[in-house]
Amino acid sequence: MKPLTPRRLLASNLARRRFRTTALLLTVAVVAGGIGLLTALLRGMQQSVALGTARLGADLVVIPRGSRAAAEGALIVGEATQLTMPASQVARIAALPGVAQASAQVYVKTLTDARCCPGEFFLIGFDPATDFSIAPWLRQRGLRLGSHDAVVGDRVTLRDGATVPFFGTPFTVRGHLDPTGVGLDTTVFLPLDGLRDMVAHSPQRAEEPLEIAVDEVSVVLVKTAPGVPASHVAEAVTANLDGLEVVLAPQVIGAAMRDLGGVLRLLVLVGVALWGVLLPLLGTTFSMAVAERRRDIGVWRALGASAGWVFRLVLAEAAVICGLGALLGLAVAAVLTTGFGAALAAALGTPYVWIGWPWVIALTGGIAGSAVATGCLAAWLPARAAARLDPYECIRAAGV
Amino acid sequence: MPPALAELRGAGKTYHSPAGTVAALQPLDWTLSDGEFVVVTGRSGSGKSTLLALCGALATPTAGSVRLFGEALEALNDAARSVLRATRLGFVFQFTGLLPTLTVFDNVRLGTLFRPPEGVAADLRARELLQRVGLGDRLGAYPAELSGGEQRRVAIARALLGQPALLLADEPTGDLDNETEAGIMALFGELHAEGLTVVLVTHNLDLRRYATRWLRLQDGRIAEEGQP
Repeated sequence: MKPLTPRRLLASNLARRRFRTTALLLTVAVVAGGIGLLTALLRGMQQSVALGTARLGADLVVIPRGSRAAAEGALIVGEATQLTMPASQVARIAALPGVAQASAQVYVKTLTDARCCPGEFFLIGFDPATDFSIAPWLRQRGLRLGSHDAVVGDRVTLRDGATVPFFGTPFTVRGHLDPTGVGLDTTVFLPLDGLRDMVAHSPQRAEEPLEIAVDEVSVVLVKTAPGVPASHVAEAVTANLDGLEVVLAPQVIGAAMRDLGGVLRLLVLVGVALWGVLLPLLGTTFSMAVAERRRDIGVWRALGASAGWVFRLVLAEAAVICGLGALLGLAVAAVLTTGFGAALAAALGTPYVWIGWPWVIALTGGIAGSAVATGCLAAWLPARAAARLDPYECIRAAGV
Repeated sequence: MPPALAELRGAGKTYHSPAGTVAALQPLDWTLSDGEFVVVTGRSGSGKSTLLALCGALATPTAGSVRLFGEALEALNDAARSVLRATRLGFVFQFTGLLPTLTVFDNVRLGTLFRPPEGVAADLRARELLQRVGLGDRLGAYPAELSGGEQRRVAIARALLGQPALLLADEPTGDLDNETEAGIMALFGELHAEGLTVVLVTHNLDLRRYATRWLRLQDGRIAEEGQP
């Protein structure tokens, strides 16, 4: 026979009112899990924006006027697009006051169902001589790319070392970039020389020739000089250069989450408000439970339970219900964010990166701890009332 | 002269209810000696349960003093009174207060939660007690599977597990048929014969025959006292 412990007595008390215990547990699970899920999604989005902005490396992106939506689509969800502006603008941009570095990129969309390409990809040609977006990552890994080498985003399913044709020109995959959750994860980066070669030979090697002139680029990434606000350079670009507009890097990456982030923040606030409703709900429920168990409390006191013991037992029951409920909800939230977070974010068109185990553990500990504290707070008055019950009165009330 | 287990000196108890203040027990002097079997009778509201509560450290007097095992009840805090109940007193009530989700064996061991750990000794004693009350083969049963008489016997075993010096029983045979009542009272008789001091509160005047002394309370006062 197992020894009788306070823990077993507690479990036995909770089991006596299965429906009530389950209902409370599920209520806490829904609130805690909901808050956990939304917080994880928000954090994943913020983390993704931070990673994406860092990867982009630019303070602002200069784009052809009227192509903001296409540029955001390319950077946020890797939506393949083709933008063009005269390459001569690069030198003008680089010469503007406050610009530390300017590097051009060329966007190319591969063909669907064509023998010349292994699938539908978004290709970005970058200039290794001026690039500050991919170059730091290459330097960190000691990689030097040849003109027909490529590095690919984390979600591109090409193997390292594989040689794949784009528009009939073979490129060798040299590495996968770290995940960012933004469109860069689904992009193939090619040195500009190789890309120009691919464009030049596309009439012979591909089903459809590429029509990108040598003197055209798509966007120009700009890094400002230390201490110069990006907005100042942006104003200089629009004031001095025709046909161009500017998006600030954090804005472009964060554009998709601005509206959704607001909604999610509102939902988190609703969750917190629900938490506030939980307090009186739990308090009332535990008051009812104490009233129902006056007779048991009388017997426990007669057997030698002190007032403090009764107080602790009621508090422990609340803590267990809230703690287990929160863990249940958070487990479901963890499964949803781990398994479906990326898919959900993709469906919503927002950048997202999984927040990682340290964050999951911190979030679980924080929310479960708050749930336990809430349970204890809610049960404090009922527990105190239970402890203050006169055992003699309890037993009399039972009809003795 | 056997030592006094409980001494009431001008001890009275009033309690408050929404209807007003009720004097449940008028100040009275009374002594319970070691080895006695006292049956307390009286109508509902006569104060017999209150007397039992004072003797069992379940209540403190609002007037006078109560000494239990030589200690003044009024001077003990809740924790000390709880220790006294856990280690020296046993209670049996008309309602058994058995927890439906615990087995018979666990219900008997409930009091071990409030005493210093005894390990297997308490388990062995619980088995012996259940054997003694005729339920040695029902250790794993749940209260709902037992008859009213069997549940009462489990409650008696539970009260005896802490090896109390004083057993306090409040209507322990209420709601029981004559045969079951006789069995329960025979058990109390045996326990008393073995040296346990018993105070039993009942409406049933017939039970006075089991006592070494009886009291009849009326309106919170001792109206009559005698020996069978």
